[in-house]
Amino acid sequence: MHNITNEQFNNCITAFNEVLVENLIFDKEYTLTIKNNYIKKVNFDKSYLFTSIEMSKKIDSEVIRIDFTVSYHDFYQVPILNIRPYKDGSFTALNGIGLQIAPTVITALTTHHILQKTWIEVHACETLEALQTLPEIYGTTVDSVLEYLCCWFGFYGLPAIFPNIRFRPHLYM
Amino acid sequence: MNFTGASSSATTEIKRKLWNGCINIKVVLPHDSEDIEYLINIPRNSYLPIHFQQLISYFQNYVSYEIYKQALWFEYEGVPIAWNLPVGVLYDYLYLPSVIQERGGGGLDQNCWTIQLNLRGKYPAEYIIPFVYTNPDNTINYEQSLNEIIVNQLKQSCFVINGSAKPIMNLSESNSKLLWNSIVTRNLGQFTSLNKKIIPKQFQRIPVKIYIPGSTTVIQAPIHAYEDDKPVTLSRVLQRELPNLFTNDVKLARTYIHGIDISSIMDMPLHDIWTIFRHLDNFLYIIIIAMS
Repeated sequence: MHNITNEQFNNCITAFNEVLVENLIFDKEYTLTIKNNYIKKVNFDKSYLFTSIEMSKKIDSEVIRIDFTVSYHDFYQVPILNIRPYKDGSFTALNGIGLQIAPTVITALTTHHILQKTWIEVHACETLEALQTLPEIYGTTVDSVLEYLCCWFGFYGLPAIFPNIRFRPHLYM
Repeated sequence: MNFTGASSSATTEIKRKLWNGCINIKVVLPHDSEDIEYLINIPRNSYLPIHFQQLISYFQNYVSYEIYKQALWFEYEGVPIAWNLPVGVLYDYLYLPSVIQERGGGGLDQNCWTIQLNLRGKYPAEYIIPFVYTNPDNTINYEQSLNEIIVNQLKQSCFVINGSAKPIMNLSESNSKLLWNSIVTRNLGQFTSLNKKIIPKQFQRIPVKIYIPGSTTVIQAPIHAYEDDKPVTLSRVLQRELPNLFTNDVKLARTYIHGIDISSIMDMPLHDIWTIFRHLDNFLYIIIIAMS
């Protein structure tokens, strides 16, 4: 796959958001609800997608909240996921909300590169190289940047951290 | 300051002076009806947590609760201070604008930055990174959190410089430890020698972070060292990134690196400026202060 630029990210983020909202599901005993979702443009040609999801258990009243952003990281030249899990309304550790976490994912507490506040970030130093090894799907009418973003989100987005959150967009139907 | 055409010994001398540059900080702990104060001199390219032990040892004499078991955090004018930035960058971003504004006014101590230490009350984890590691005796392991942050910063700058983070990820465990140790113990020779393993002779891009006091936006700019076979200058970078403040004819802001107004070297190649002024994480931190 080709790399994408900040400009391409900005141009495609709205289309990606539509796909994201329609295809994000939780496959276990929780019901996933999107509580907030928007795209914000900020200074210096940067924009980010913000989403707040709540997962409520079907058998009891336990509610888990996760906020996340998708933005373009200028240093790593790839999209990046930042998340904030909440327990009882307070920002907590990744393992503090009782969801299964993928054993291979590498995350770190860091200052969000746009929001300048504390978020958990999925390490991005190998994302560029890894995505370059993926083949592009030719002969479809799907925008290649949208395809890139969907592919990236599958490998380095929420499903990469929480295996029970699925994102399988029907892009090519 | 002008080091255009400076000899290598002059460059070495500038680097040595930058390495030794320090900030006077007055740490104030509000306690009962009076403030407890501690004066500390911290190198500009150091980090606050490296000096926590010194502060804990002092302030523990004055309070009855165990300071070791709660996370220290600081604030300046009500704003929590991010410990993950170099102390000199924090000073230039948070305090230098007031110093410049007050220069000659006499209302501000220009030689000492006063910050407040907070020991009790809720740690503002949403604003500054929490310390999540503890030692076996339940005291807070500040060093591990700082190490994690700096290594991540080094990976990021390494990626920008090399196009890959592999040079730092391929460092042997012993060299990684030595690199970290050289930062904590401020061993310039050891740091320089290990840092050379991360930085190649041929650059992909130069890692630059631009801070504008009063704004929460930080510009993360990976800059190509050459454009059309010509070295890119700092002027060019600022005109492109901040066209409202920097044009060919008008400059509505001053540019500071390591607390130094670098207006006189704006037309130097950015690569030369980075080589001399970069911080321990290999980023060039630039502070832009708008002129009133």
